[in-house]
Amino acid sequence: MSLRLTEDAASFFSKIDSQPIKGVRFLDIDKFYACLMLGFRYAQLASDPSLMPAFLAAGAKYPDAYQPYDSYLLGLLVEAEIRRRNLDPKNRDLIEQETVKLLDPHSPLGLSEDGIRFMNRYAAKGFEILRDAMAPPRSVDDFLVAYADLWQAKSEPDSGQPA
Amino acid sequence: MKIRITDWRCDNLRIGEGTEVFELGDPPARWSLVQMPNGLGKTSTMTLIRAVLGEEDLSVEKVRGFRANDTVESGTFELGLLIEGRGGGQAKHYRLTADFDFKAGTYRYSTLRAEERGGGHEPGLVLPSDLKHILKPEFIKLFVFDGELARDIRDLNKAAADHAIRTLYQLDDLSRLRQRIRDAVSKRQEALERTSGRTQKGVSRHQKIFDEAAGQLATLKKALAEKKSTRTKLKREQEGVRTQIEEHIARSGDLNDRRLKLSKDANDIASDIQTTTLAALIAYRNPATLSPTIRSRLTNLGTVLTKARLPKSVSSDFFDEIADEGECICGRPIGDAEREILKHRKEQYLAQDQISAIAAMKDRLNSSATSETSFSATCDTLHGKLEDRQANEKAMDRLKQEAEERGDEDMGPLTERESEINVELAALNIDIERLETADTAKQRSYQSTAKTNIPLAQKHLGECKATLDEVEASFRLSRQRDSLLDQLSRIEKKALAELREVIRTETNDRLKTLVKMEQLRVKRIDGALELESDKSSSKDDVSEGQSLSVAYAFLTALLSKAPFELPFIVDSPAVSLDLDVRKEVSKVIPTLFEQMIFFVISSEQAAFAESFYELEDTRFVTLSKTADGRIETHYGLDEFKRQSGEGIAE
Repeated sequence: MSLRLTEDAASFFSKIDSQPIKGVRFLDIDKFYACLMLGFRYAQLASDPSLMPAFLAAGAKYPDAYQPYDSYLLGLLVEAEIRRRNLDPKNRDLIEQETVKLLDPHSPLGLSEDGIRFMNRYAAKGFEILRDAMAPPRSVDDFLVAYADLWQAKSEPDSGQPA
Repeated sequence: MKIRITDWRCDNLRIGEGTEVFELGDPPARWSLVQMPNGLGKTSTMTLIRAVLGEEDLSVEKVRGFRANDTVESGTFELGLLIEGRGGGQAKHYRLTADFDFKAGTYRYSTLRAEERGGGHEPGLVLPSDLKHILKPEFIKLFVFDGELARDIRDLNKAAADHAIRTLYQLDDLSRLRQRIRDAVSKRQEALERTSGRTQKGVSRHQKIFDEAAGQLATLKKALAEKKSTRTKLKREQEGVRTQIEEHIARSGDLNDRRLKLSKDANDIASDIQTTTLAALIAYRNPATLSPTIRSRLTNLGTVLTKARLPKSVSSDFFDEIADEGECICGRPIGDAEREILKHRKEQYLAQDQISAIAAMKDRLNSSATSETSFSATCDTLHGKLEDRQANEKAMDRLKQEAEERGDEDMGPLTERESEINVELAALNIDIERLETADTAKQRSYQSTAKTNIPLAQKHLGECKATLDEVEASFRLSRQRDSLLDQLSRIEKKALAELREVIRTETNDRLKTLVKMEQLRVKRIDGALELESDKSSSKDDVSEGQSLSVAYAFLTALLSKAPFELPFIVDSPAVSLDLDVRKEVSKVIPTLFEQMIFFVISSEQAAFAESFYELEDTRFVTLSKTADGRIETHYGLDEFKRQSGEGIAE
């Protein structure tokens, strides 16, 4: 089990020029991450997304570009779940249990099976939000500007007690 | 291969309680005459010999029918064989055994190969394989002679004569081979995914589908080549048009200065956009710089974990270690009960590696407040650069328009053509991508099919080829099967016809000496023996003696051609023959087989048993019942004659 884009998200990003800057590629995980952050932002899950095959090879870690931030991604997942489920942040045992449920220090991505499942569902929901807010991008520069506008323009609704 | 019977042994069987052994010599005598009064189990012995040779299925009633009396619960029949392989060599002893449980009505066959290394009882019939295949109940009746067979071989409804020929000459193997071929082909065809095209029609249909797919792919490739060629031409034309536009602008000095500046600005802007896009992408990939909201959530979570003093410092490994020690750190001893509680409750604590992972995450979260450039600020810069690019493009358009307004008549058509080319190139690029993209997401967005996309058309063609190959292989297999079955069938028919004729001729040669009163002949073998005589072209009605003579003639003709030398065992061989026929039969019979065992009764002495008295290689066995009911076995001619005499006197 690994991270996977929804079929619609893959189509949405299909026209983007993947190599706008010499030596730097706009990766599949960049597309997944765009969706994931929006899913985390609103702490919302898609119910039963139709997923593409995994874009990372079996047993692969995060690509180099994301390795410095892997702890952030794990933390954001835990934080979103605490918010989504309205868990008491002072309840030590509960927070610990939730963390243990989602993380697995032995897996390449640091995520348990449950953790990966939740990541994919957050990303799927994030894509729905993204699709409503912008047209399919054709260039990375246009996408980045539009995506930044999305974060600046909207303040997230109160979706539960923040962590 | 030569098969001979050396002895048999009965324990608690019909012949009587206790053990009775019949020894025919080792090697056995060529002729054995076993004289048993009626009721002592001749028929049972014949049945048991057939049963162990053929591993016959026996009903509960039949098993219990072998029982000596109601007091015995189990019994055994053992048959000794001496088998000499092809090309001579040391003959080997085999003992075929049937063990009976009379109470349960069950039985078990086994074989003892005493001369084999580690020899012992092995389940079932363990004989040389080329012998085993002929030892089928129907065939065994030929040489452990069943009197019924004498009639059956002339019964057109039973086809017993053909059965005998087919079994002995292994023609049944051809039938079995045909079935195995059918099964093997079916199995292989069932294993194929596509089962629709095992006929020529199916192959043609799949060939047509394949041809269409190949045609479709060729069409798409041709279209791609044409579009690429057009694109190359258009790019060349675009280059020419742009050069011409620049040349026209250059004719006006001030316009040219502006053009040069705009071109330089365009290059600078493009370079800035690249640099800023890269910076924006780097900021985008870091959640802490992506958005202040995200950053605050990261730091908040770090605070939550810190406040909750998570992760806990005690790990489950600690309780494991304590449980494995004999003593707690407080000094109290840890027994089984305490150990079990410790092992159970340790699950409430994290393992050390989980603690480390959470601690590492917490440390990173607490240091996530960053001074790095934010994604938002970089994108603002990028946005500005993109607007600059747009402004530059507009300024260049205005420049062209000014050149046209200054009376340069060529400028209008040139700029118009440049716009057209741009539109055409954009459309061509989309068409080319639609045709050649192998990216599944792009294919989805173009709603590509094998009719519009080359990689999908190639995949489809590959599938069609695989299907066609499978269907062709299946069809080829069907044709090969039919051809092979036909040839086997013809071989079987021809072989049977020729064998029938050989055996008919041999049978008739033997009948000349066996039946002299009325010359009987086999007119035809077609399932059964059809007889004729000098007096009648169709001779269905024959005497008991003639019937037996025909059977003997047929069997000896048949078995004389066999690749095996088999013993011949017969119950009361002469009892139904009149004295004249007996004399003839007894002259002929001794020469027919290499080993013959006759179960006789006293009345068969005259004109039959007595003909063996002078033959050296003969064993005489006589069974008698004493006054107190015991069975006595005697070997030798004297006792044989004495019993015969008594029998006759009776």
